[in-house]
Amino acid sequence: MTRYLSGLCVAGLGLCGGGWLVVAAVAFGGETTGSAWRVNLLTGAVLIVVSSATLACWSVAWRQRMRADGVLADRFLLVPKREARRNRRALNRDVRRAGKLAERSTRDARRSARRSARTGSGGGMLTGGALSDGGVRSAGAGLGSASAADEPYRVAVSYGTGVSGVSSVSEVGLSGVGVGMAGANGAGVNAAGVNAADVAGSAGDGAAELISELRAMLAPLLAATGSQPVLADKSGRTDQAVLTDQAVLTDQPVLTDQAGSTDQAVLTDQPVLTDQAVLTDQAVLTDQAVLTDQAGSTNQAEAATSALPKRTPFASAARPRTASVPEPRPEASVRPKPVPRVTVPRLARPQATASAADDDGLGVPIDSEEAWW
Amino acid sequence: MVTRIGVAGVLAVFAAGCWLVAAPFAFRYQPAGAGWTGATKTDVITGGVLAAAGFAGLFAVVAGRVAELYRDARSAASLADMADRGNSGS
Repeated sequence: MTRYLSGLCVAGLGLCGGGWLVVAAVAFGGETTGSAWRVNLLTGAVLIVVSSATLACWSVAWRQRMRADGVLADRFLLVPKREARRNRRALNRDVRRAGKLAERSTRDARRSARRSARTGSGGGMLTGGALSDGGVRSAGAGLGSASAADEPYRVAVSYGTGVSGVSSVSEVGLSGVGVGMAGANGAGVNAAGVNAADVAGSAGDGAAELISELRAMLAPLLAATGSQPVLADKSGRTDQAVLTDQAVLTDQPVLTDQAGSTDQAVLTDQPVLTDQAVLTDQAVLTDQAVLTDQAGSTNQAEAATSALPKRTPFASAARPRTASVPEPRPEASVRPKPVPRVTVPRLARPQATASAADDDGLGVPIDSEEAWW
Repeated sequence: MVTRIGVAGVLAVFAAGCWLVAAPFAFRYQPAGAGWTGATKTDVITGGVLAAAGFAGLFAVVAGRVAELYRDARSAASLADMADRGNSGS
């Protein structure tokens, strides 16, 4: 700052001296024709010009320095009113355009979400769905759904993996359509396979159609989750399960952790009357899934799974008991055989009393869901 | 560039002062052995002031520039010191 000030001072002083020389030569009389007058006048004029230029230069240099140091801020140019109005219109137009674009994208997103939800629900057959991760060591996916009560088919299909790897599925329907799919174990830990489906009851061809639709719907889902199920007819590992309203298909997996060992789904036809069937360990295929008697069924279930390690507690253990069976059900034979179908009226089923607080977040509990659990 | 022009202007002021002091004797409008005329007194006094101011201004400009160079070097050294401390601390 010192040099700028000194330069400015010298320039100012030179300006004053030049002016004095000019004034002294003209105002104070003296010789107007001599060399002294001419020298003073010319020197004074040159000094004025040079000092003015020096003053300007030092001023500019100082401002530049102050701007570089941040002392002086950049000037904002004044915008004419017309240009300001034009800019304002352009800004409003841009804002409107952006809003329209956002609205359109939101609409498209909603539409695609609706479309995907419609696709995921299977065209009305499956009215709800829940994807969940199952299993401890391998990821799986479960799709559980149930239709409304007045629909002819109520289907609940689950596909998942557990510690032992085999999971199964149950199906409950008024018409007695049963689809049993013992789940494949993912991640190559254990063997993969899908147990066969059996159709019983009055559904007939409709059930086969339903099964094929379910398979078609599950294939992309399982492919998306990474587990590739092998269909029963392709793998050759087919457990023919007769699904009746009394038959309980329990998959007792062999709890082996070694790769390559297979989880042979043991098909026992004993009626396990429990609602504590863990889907990742056991699969209960029943048409009368509400046949729940805590005391008696637990004994049978323990007898059935005595050779197995303890299962991990499941959420259904904390679930309130919704129904009880007054008398024990007869033992089923070892070999699955067709059992006369007993059609249970819809209204005869015990109503679920689970409240919303007891729900595990998978949706509103309905009869089929409670029975499925 | 602007600063250089300013420095040249200061030099011009100094040169003009020197010229004003020497002009009466150079152009011989001050007779030798006689008392100084009014024009001579005006030129010598004005020239002397301008020359002194020009010299002081030139000295101040150079001194200010050198002081700036010293200050910049000092701040750069302190920054480098801080960076070294940061590197050694981390």
